[in-house]
Amino acid sequence: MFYTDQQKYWIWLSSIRGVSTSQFYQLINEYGEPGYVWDQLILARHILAPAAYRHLKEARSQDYLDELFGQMEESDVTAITQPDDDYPDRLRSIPEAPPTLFVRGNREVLNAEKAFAIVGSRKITVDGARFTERIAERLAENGVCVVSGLAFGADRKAHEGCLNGGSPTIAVLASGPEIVYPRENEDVAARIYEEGGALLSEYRPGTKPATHHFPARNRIISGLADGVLMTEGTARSGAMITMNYARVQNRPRFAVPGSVYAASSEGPNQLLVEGALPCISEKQVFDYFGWKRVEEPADMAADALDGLDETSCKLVEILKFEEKSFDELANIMKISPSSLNSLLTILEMQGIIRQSAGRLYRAII
Amino acid sequence: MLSVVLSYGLSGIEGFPVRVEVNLSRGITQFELVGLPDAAVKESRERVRTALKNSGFSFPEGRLTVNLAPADMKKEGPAFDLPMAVGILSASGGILPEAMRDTALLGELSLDGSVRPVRGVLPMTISAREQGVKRILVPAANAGEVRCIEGIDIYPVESLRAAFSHLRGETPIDRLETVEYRQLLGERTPQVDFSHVKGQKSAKRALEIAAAGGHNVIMIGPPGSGKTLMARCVPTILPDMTFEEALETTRIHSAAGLMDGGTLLVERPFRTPHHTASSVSLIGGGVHATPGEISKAHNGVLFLDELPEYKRDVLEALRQPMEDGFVTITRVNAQSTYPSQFMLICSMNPCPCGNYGSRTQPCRCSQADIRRYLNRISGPLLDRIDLHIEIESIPPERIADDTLEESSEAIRERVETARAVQRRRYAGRGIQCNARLDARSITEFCRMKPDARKMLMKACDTMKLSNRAFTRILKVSRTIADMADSDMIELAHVAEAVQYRTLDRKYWG
Repeated sequence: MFYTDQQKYWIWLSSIRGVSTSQFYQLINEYGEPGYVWDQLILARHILAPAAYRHLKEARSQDYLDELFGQMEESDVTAITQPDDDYPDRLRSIPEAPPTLFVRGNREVLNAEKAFAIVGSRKITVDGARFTERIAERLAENGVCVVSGLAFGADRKAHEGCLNGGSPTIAVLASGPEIVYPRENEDVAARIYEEGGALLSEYRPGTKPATHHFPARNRIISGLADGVLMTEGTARSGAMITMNYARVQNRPRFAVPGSVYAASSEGPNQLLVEGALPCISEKQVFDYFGWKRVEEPADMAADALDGLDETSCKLVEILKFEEKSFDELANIMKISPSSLNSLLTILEMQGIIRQSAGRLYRAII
Repeated sequence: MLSVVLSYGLSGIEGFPVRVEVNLSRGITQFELVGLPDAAVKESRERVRTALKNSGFSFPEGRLTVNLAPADMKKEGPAFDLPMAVGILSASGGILPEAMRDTALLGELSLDGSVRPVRGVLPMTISAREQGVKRILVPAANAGEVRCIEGIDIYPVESLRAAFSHLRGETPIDRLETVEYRQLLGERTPQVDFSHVKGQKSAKRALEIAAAGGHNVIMIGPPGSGKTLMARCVPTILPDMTFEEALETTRIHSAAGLMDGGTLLVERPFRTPHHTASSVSLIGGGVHATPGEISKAHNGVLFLDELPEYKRDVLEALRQPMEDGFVTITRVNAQSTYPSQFMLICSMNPCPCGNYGSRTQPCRCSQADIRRYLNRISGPLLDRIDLHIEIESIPPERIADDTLEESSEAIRERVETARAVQRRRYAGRGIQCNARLDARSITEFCRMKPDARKMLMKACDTMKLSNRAFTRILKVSRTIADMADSDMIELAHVAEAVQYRTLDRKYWG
């Protein structure tokens, strides 16, 4: 990847630890261009904290530059600076737009025609997981790029759904773009990279995830998208920070309604009260933006249920609207634990029901 | 004058003969004790001297030398008190040597002359019988544990005085009546029963499978869901111990000093070491290489409550004995081999706060917390556990509910039937139950119907199960098939077995 001198200095300055986004732009205002910072550090002293200034001073060496660009090359990361033409327009307009985007994977996807962010809690219910994955898949089938944060739970489901629907997806990380956190999501990260998506971060390669990075990266998630949906989470969930950024950035906000008493739906319900748009399927999203969508394929549920015997049908019927534990099912169905066990496995293998921790079962079609 | 009294020492769970030689010669009155005695044996001198006096005998004057032969084996414990006192009485002419021919004596003396119980009476009696000893005098308090032993005359002794009169033929003690093991089995009264456990249909079924195939089990469930109670009930549904098993188990308990006046064990042992236990207390060891919890649980159940709380090295140390079925402990003073075939039952909370997967209580743990908690369990140990059982928390109204639950006895009958099927199949192959199948015998004995195989393949694929999980599921389905008395493993059997691999599932951590 070729960078002009102007770009190189820009990337250099934005890579320095302790220099915040606002300080970066202050420096640019003060100096005019990042190359002058390199030439004459002393003015930066009034703008930066002492520690950041020290980092800046230490970074003013050819070794640092070699190391930085070497590392980018090595982990297949390219940088997009804010003045570049291919810097995503949606992001350019937000307050505190990241000066540089470090991208691993397909950088063109950042300018996808239709992009939609889906966020939610790391801990989600079986229903939440199902809906998140489902809507991401339906959006992707209609050519929408799904943006999320590659965390556990809702984020993971959103990425997976999007990939299953056949669209590339964007994961905004709170670490360097080549470091996957949590590690368990490396499988999804690999899929994102291989299937034409992008792993993106405002932090230079080699940056470890830090607590304060997470809320900051949420502004990029909402900033990259045309709209943002929160599927599940409590009122204190990190996803609420993203929704707050969405409000500041004038992105339409969508929320999935849930039970008033469900802690997992506290956040979305609160958003709905504040005026967010209710979302119970992808239809609301498409209608709002006027995007075209292909009709939902014929009812697959009926097909899958066709081949089932009477007992299985009864079981699926019970689990359709409510989660039930094994003992409850055994009591309602009045069949032996052994036959219930094998029945549940067979239905699970067919993808009709799903089991979650605590031996709870739920129909998913 | 010299006299010799036969007694027995304990090495592991074997007795070895000890000749207590007493010599009384002229000289300054003193009492010398030789033959590698340990502290408790050395103290015998004072106990013997006082007990003799308090029983109305006069302590002989002159130089008294007591030798415990063989002199190169360490002797421990107070069991030589009685033989020494009798030896002294014999050396001073009170008891004829003929009276003690083919007779062994065991017992600790109290200062008042009464005989106190000692540990290891059962293994020592068995060894004595094997070595052709015809009569044995044991402390009366230990009579219970040797009640079922035939082929040797056992005389329970209350006091030194009684032993003296018996050996002189003045007031003979009645020989201990032997009791049939069957009779003991009929008399037992278990403390717990599965009918006390309300609900928990799935867990009960899983434990029944575990008992039927001898599988190790881990139970995962919130605090207070009844994991410990259910584990305690497992010995009640395991098949009755055979006489040989009961004898072997009691031997270990006797050697470990756990008998406390009890009879031969008729209920399978249930051992529950605390999670702060050291590897020595679990495996066995100490100065005299005494048996650990795993040997005390021989032929029974070893229950590790709150598995992730155990120290890692302790759990690692469990692996070898679990595989071998015995453990050899070597110490400076002793080397002993103890059998250790037990069924392992572990329990744990689903997460550090215990509420993961609960519908009523919110779980406060992060995914990372849960993962860290699970990672505390050693993978290789988990590999030896065939069934993972999730325990639901039972709502209070269900606990109060008094619908009749199935009793342990009814479950045990089914377990016995399934075990009989396995015994027939594995006859002459040295395999006791399905849990003990190795890789080669699995392919031989676990034959599946084609649709069952297809199902298992699919399950492994969709649930991302490892090869290991595959063989575990096969073994468990073999047991389920045995319970249904089916020669081939059918689809329904595999399908049920798949439900018992909770921890392999990706939603877990």
